Amino acid sequence: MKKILVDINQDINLLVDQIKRFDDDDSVKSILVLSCAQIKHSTDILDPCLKSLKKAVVGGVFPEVVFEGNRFDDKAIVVGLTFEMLSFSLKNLDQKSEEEIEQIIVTEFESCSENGNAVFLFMDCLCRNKQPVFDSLYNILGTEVNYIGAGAGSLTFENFQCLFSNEGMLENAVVIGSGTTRLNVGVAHGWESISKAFKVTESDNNQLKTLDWKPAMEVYQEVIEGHARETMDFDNFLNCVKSYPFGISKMDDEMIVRDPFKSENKNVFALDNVEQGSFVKILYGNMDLLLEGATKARSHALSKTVDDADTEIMIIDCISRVLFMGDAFEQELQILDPDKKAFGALTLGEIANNGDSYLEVFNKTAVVGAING
Amino acid sequence: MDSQDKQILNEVLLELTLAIGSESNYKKLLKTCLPLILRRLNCIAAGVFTLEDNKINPSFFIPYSFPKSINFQDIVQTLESSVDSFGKQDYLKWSDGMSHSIVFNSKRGMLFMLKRRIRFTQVQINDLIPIVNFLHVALENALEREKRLKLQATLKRLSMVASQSSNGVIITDKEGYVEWINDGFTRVTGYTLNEIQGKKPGSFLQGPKSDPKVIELMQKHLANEEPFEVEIINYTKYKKEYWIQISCNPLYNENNELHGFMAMESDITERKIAESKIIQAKKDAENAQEAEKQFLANMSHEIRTPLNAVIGMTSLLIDTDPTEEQLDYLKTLNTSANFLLKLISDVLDISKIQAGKIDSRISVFDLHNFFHTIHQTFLNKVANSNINVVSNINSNVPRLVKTDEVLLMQILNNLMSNAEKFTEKGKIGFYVSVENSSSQKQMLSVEVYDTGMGISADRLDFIFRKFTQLKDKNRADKRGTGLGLAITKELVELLGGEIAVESELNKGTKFKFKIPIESVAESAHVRQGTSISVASNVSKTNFENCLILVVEDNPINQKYIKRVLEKNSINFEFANNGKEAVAKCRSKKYDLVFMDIQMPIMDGLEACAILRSEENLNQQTCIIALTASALREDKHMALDAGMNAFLTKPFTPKKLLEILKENLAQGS
Repeated sequence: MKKILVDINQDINLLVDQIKRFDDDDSVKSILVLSCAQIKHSTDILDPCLKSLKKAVVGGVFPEVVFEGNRFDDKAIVVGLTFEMLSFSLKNLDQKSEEEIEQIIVTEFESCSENGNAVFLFMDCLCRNKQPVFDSLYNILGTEVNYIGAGAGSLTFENFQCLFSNEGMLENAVVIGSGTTRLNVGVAHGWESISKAFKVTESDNNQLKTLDWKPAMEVYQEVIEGHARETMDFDNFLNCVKSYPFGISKMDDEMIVRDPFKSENKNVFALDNVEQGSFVKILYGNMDLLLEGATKARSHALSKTVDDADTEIMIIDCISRVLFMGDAFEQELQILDPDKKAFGALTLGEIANNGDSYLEVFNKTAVVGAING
Repeated sequence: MDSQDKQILNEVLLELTLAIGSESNYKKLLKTCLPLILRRLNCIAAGVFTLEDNKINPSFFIPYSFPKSINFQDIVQTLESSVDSFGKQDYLKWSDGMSHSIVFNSKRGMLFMLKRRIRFTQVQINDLIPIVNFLHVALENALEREKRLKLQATLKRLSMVASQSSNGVIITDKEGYVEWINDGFTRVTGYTLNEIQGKKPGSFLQGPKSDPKVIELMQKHLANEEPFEVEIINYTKYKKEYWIQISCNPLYNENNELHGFMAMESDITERKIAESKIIQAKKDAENAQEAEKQFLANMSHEIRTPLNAVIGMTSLLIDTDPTEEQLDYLKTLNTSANFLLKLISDVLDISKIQAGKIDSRISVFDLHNFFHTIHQTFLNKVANSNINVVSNINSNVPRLVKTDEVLLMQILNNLMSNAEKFTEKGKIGFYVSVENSSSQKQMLSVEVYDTGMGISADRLDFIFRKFTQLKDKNRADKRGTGLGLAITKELVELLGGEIAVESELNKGTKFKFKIPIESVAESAHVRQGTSISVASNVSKTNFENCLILVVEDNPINQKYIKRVLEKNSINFEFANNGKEAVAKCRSKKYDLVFMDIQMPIMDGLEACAILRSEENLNQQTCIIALTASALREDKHMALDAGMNAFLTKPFTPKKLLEILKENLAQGS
């Protein structure tokens, strides 16, 4: 595997050049791009390059990238993978039905002789139709493959073309790359419940409307202020809620975290879906437990990995963890990448599965992938 | 931890309740519920098996690929091997080291499977049971709803199709009570759905002329859930009868259980009227044909009887030393009478052939003897002429064969008579051989030839046509009916053969025909009639000591026969009908009986049957039929009644003596 950090702040063409170089490099079989949001208005420059590539390319735009122990919000990482990938995208995702999504995925995987055992998955974080993609992928591929990926976008939560694909930069889409390599994934977060379970009595995708038949924001605010023992100014929503995500209970495992990012009309918007009829708790992050979560994620990823010089560490960590942890996140990064060799991104939703549970999108969660090649 | 699990499971149960809602599609329901369960119970696979007749069938799983996974067959086998004990338990669980599986049994033919990396605790399992039971009930309800909806959709589609049909359509429940009818049914019967809903169709459609056997048949098919098609007379609401064709099929639901019946009813009244007209016309035609046949039989009998006297008496007169002139007149009379006889025979034959009334009667007979008889007959016939009769039978011709002896005889007689007629001098004859002699199914090939006047090539095509006689100055004196060769061709074809002719003017003619025969091993054949031994003490040539009974009602024929027999010093007695004959035969032994067939009081067939069936002095005496009937079936009837031979009137004294001599000799 070859990985290059490109300073896109200096010149966006440097990214184009690097991608082209890997496309011409015989030792590189497919390309992974993790970029900062700096490139959000550079589609005109990137599209001709991406569309002309001979090799498969997948990737996303994220609030920050991490490279060899450092965080960057103005750089991109181009990774030359040593295995081939089948890559495809589902465009206009929010306009597609569950059946259409499943049919496209079935058709794409049926068209290749070998499905591979590692799936890279990047999705526009503002898509509302994410769950059918996860359901379809798991329904079709099950535990035969390991998955790693992330929700792409920026902290401004504006729509833009945030996904790299062979069809150019895409939004309202998901890009999927499937290859044959050794991929082990560790997932953990360390958040703990501070409330009883609330029934989601009304929701619409990622929009929580009522909890226990009360306005969601009212319930949420009450719990947070009760826990903080102070009245908070929820006009500064992100600042107030960064320590209090929602959690969906899972038997014998950590909760699935859902990260609220705005409130409108007493409705709370989370980064990912919260099913109507499900139960959520309100969580709180204790710094030590969160760091313990990062430790678990790394050790899970490495537990099945043969000590091999070719093994590279890919970090997918949540940007809202960074926001919550502040300076302490450097500690988390140190835990996740003690050798300062890893690459990755600080994302808006983490996707991971190691064949030991159903495929999920997580929030406020640390994911470590150990990739061979 | 336990309370947290309990809480999660309670949440799952509530989430399932909401997710299931009113979903009636089994697969959609599973597709909604299984991810929820997989996610919340931290499983990697989940799904449903159905259990039918101790057989485990995979129904639906997530991931879809799970049934194709390596250990899936192990799971099925484990389940199948545990079905008996499993029936009494709520669940079965096992581990393959990497994962842990548990299968819950609803005891209603449905098994729910969960698989995950972490082992379920006993508490978790106990708490899972209500969830699984809830899911089972929901799935069963969904299946039921789905079936009902499908059934309703099917019925709706059927109804839509049926409503467009011009025929009557009626749908009943499985008990046969009317559920639905279309407009066509109302149009035909006059009944509306309101009037007949919930009634059995038979109770208002059938009436006095409805065939009880058909009704019984319908009931039987309905009870056996079988489709059927019948025709029956039904009655409209206004008691008007009409013919209906009913095509009824059972309707089954998704579980292959009988749901009801659908009958398509077509009004066939017009067709039935047309059919009855055709049947009547056929009957009339058959009656007419029978009348024609009877007419032919009667005509044959009525003409032959006086002809017998004419020909017989002419023969007797010839023997009375007539003058030259008288002899000339008598010969002319004799020729004319014989021509008339031939004409009658040919007209009868061609009529029968055209009516398809000649059927071949296959029997086993000695083919060598057959041709010997033909040869002898024609040798005698041409004895005083310049014609030689040649018989040539190839060594490959089997002795015993199966074919129609009588028809073959007629063919040979016609062709040989034709040869004899057109040959002034030289020779006539036949060459007989067999094709495919090695196989059992063979073709008998017969060439009948003469060295007579021959036929020119351009006229050969006409010779097999009916009523066609070749106009030739050389043949002007050769009179005929123009039917002989046409009849011959028809008879050859009736036997499955074919005939051809070759001829050259002034050199001769050769007819060649082939018919299929079947050779019979001589040991296998027991000659018919050999069981009847005719006791007689007369020698072949001496009739002095024999006594003949002549059963004949016609006084002229009696007179003729009397004269012939007296002339040959043969003792005889007369009986005027069958009854007298039976009485005489019971009291006296005769050496031979001539028995007329058509007689008043008791005919010859009945008399013969009585004599053969009861013990009497003449039970085994040779009986020869004497009849004016030329119809073939009459000959068969005579032989079937037990007679030994057949002599058709008119017969010459010579023929009478020949048959007498032959049968007395056989008896001795």
